[in-house]
Amino acid sequence: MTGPVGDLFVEYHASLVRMLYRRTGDRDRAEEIAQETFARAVVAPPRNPRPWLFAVALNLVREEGRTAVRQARKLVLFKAEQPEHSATPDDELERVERIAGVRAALDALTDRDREALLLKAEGFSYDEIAATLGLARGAVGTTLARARQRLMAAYRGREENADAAS
Amino acid sequence: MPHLDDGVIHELLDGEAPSAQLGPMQQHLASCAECRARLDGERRLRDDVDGLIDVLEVPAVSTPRVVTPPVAVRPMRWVRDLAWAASVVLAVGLGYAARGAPIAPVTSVVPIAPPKEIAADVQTNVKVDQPVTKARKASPPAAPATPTVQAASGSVGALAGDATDRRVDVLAQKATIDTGAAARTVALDPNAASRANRGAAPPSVQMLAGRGGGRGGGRGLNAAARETATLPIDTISLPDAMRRLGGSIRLIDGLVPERLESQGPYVRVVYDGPLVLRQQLVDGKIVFDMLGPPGVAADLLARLRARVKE
Repeated sequence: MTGPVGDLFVEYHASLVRMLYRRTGDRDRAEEIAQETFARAVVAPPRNPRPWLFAVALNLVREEGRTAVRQARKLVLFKAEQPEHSATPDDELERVERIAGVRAALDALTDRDREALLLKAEGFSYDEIAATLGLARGAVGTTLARARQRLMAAYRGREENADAAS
Repeated sequence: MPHLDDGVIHELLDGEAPSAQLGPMQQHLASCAECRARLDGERRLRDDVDGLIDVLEVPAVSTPRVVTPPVAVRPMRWVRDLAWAASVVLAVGLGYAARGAPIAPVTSVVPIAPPKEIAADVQTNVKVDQPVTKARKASPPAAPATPTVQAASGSVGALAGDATDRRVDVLAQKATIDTGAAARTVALDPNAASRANRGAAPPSVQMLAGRGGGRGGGRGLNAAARETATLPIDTISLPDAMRRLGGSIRLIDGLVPERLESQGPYVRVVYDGPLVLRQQLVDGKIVFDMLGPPGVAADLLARLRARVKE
């Protein structure tokens, strides 16, 4: 990939894959959707590339989510990546559990709240978040405030439930 | 000025508040302890949330799994000691028998199960079920086997050598008993090495729950684990797994499995960790247990077990 889109790839690919991985929980899927997004950028080079790329990618995630049984697809994917941690078993399971908790808490949010948070985590400005998600600029602060509160409430709620169950 | 709403507070925290409103906001904050407290609280919330999201780091780039040769399961120390003692007794006995007239070479051929695990450890091309001359060195086959005649010749050196050989034999047979079918699979099918290697996971993957999370009345899976630990493991698809479990499957909520495997009657859902949610159909119900790394805290496992859902 060369030219303007090649530059976009270099600049945004890692960030896009990270956001998509956080959104989907599936690295291979994140890579595929990122590839598809950049392929579309080749066809119709965007003027405001970052919001455009992330908006297209998030739309692809939503479309895919509507037409597929998500869990089933995750299961049939064989993931070869291995943890590169040299942590103790307890640390490793703590990490796994924490990841599961965060992911479940993210899943408890609405699409808009979740995506606003993930875009913010990628360093998006409020203007970019508004452009990517089709929000009014003035609604971004409220959206983020609500998303943060709900995420933390969901995460802590799961922790308390797990503690109660054990 | 009225109290700052949450959206405005987060705009401030994120450095996104319109510059025209900064002055009035700061004036209000200077005079309103409640809003200052909320600002502090929301700042901590934002930082905590950022920390949570950072937990979701992208895994490293996929790399091919390295298929390592199967590791021999060493017999326990007392077995080795016993084998040594048996070897010495046997060597002395043979030496005593060989002190008189020359003894004809032993020609009887007795099929002895080959020493699979040790053979796999030392040399992997040992043929399974190949008849082995009695009292012959078990491995490696490439080296000419020490003729039994040597042992019968009365030579102390030969006897000593033979005693060593016999020790190998005894150990090998013990290993065969211990490891069973998984080792046989390794020896028969080089491609099965990786599967059998995963099957040899029990030394590094510890049984952490005896029963399916307290559910189901199936037999104790600890006992079952001993029975099935030697069975080969194969990667299977989701439909296959669900078919084995009567059209359903248990998963840990919030975790993405790495793969699905079958081992004997079990379906194994393998997660990062390594963490294995093992399940089987018993009387129409799914009974499951969890396997994790050795030394893991029980409460951690209990929390994960509480997340198992159909």
